[in-house]
Amino acid sequence: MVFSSIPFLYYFLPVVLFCYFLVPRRLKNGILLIASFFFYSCGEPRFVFLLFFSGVFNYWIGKKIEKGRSTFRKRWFLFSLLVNFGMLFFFKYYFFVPSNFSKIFPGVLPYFRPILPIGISFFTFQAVSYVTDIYRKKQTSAKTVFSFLTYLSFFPQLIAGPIVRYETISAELSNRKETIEDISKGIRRFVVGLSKKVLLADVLGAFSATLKSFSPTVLGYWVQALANTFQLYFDFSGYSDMAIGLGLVFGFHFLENFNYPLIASTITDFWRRWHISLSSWFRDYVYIPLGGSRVKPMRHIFNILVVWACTGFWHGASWNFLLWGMYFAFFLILEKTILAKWISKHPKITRIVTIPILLVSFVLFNETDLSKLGTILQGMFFLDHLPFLHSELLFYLKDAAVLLFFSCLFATPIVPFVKKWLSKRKMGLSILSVLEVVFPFVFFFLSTMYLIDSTFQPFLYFRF
Amino acid sequence: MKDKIIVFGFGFLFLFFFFYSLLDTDVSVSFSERRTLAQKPVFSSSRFWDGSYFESWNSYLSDQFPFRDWFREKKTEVSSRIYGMNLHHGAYVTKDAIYELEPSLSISSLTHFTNLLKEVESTYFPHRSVFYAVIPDKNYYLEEEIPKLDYDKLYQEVRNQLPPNFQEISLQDSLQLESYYRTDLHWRQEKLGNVVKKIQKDMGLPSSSFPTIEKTCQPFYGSYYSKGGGMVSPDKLVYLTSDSIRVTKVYNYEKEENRFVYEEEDLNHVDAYDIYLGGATPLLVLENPHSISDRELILFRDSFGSSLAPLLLDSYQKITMIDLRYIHSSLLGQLLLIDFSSSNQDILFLYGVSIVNQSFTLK
Repeated sequence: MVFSSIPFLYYFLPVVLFCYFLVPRRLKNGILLIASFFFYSCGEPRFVFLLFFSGVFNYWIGKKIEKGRSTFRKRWFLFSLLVNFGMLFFFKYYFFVPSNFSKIFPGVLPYFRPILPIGISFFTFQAVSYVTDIYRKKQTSAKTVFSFLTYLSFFPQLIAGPIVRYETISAELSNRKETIEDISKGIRRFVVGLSKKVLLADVLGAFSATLKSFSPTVLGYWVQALANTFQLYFDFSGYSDMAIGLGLVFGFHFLENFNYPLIASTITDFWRRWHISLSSWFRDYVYIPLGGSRVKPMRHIFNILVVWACTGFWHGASWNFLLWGMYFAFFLILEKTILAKWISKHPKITRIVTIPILLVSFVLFNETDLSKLGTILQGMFFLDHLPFLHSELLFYLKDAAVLLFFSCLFATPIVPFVKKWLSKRKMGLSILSVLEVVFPFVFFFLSTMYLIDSTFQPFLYFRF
Repeated sequence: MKDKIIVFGFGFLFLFFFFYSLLDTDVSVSFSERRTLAQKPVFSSSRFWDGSYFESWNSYLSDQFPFRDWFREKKTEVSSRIYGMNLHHGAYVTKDAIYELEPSLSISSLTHFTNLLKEVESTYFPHRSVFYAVIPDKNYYLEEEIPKLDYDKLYQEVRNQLPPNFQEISLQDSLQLESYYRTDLHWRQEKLGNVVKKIQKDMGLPSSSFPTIEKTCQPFYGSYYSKGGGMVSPDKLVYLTSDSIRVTKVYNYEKEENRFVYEEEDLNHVDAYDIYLGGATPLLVLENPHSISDRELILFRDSFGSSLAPLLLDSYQKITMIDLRYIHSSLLGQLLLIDFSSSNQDILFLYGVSIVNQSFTLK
């Protein structure tokens, strides 16, 4: 079950909300726990036990680490990493290693592709951050296994993030207050996310799929890269908005996961704005432990390469993701070394240059077939003797012109800008109040229309 | 106040739809989408563990959602108004009609098509004079600039690849945009007067009177209708009848049953176009006992042939209709029902452009 579906919006969510607000405070976490496991079992009934095991195991090992003597603490901690990453490796990466090995030595290693449990990358990273924080004595362990399971399986962030750390919501797990302001804010945030996903990402996805179906042109490849970039952004940030909104409805305050990344001035800036919970996870649990930037230059470069290889592979067991990570590492190293001074003096130029760099990055991200990837990149850079455009492309571009315009518009902070502008004016405040009430209903209905008529509704971040 | 309106408004919205759908009765068929709707799933432990039980619930709840048709219709309208889009689900939708966008011209498909025709000819009626016609789709007649097949190249390729004993019947000038349904790919039977005349003329048949008795079915939801989401009103389906058509007996080889050209219960099928000879089937034999002609027609055809064949009944005593999508050409010789050796026999291959351009369905 995904958030942007009729069963979730009109059946699951109302029932959960009704039960949640009906029961006394001490039973509320119980409702969330039951709802979360039901939610997970709707998509992956087979792996409910895996989620349960992960919760119980990490709670148990957290206690062991917290109470153990110094030598044992380290052993328990390393054991927890072994189990958590072992589980992730088996389900997500097991196929990758022997399948590539067998390309060189056919038939030597038997291999199979395990079914990937939905959201395993997210809940494993949450669990690892939990035990690591306890090991570092930054965080005390959860009071009860029940409370930890509620955290780990909490359905708003279970299958597609953001990666919520235990420290962010530990206090709210035991003591929170749901206010009408927060619920209203949560609903509005949820509708924003739903609209991004349904009214923009899915329509862009269908447009991009159409572009793929006819003969390639240089401009066609670039437009497709643009459409894919917007699709991924609105899909994933929309899901994060929905998660944050749902969290607010239940009284939890998650951290932001996106901050208009497509207007970034540099690649470094982009990664401060895109999937913030993932990049900060790698910063805190990989980059800084490796020494971060306070090391010799060559070691710094090594640290960046390690972090970005991991970031790439986190997204999937495929060479293109590694390439994607290395591509960003290359630009980040450039920005931190040779170009550091130049960038600080030319912010406008770097902002313009960042856009095509990002578009190419999402070509790497989207195409798992390396030979096709090569063809696309050659086509994009005039190396394949393709026509620049043809009439068919113009027809489709004309049809999607408004969609692309809206996508550009909503990838920028236009909404907060307009809100700020209106709030400074006398009439503006009244208009804003009306719009803030009307828009959630209008966009919720629009999204419902699209969902009912939908044939194209991929969820891009499911595979992670 | 603002927050209360939002919270209670959404609360009311959820309650309304939740209880409405509980009280509402389930619908089994969506005629506008021409498909059966998902019904309440039955539980089984195997379906639970493999996830298909919940998937079925997803389909069921989505399919039976209150006011579903209204939402679908409004979506297309909204999409056109907000995004200015004319493309919906891969179709080009105007306020008058819906056009399926054909994929690019496939030379390999054309070659497969012509090879198949040559193989059938050389196997069953070598060196005899045969006729063929490729029916243009309605995009051919649309003046607006949409991506279209390269029709000239298509016709030229087919012409070049077939041997001289294949005589082309060019139908492009006998049809116009109005000859097609607005919400379907097919031609309208009542608009085929010129097509019948052209076929009769090119095949050397005496002209016959065009049936004038019209029976109608309305609304007719064509196969593209759902793509237009209600922006384009449904069609009216007309089926023409005459004395010859009324008395003609039709034998359906697949179902092993006799029927008439039109069985009105076929109008209740999800696709009302099935009124023409009962819809898709591999082999039909039409026999007109009142025919003054002793000629016989072997018609290799797709669904376009279903509405045309009844109009040729005055010219033939017997029409054998073969659909190579549903029967392999190598099996035709084994069927006693078909006799290719008759001397007073005409052979006609009649296929729409979309089948010719995606001919790998023909066997």
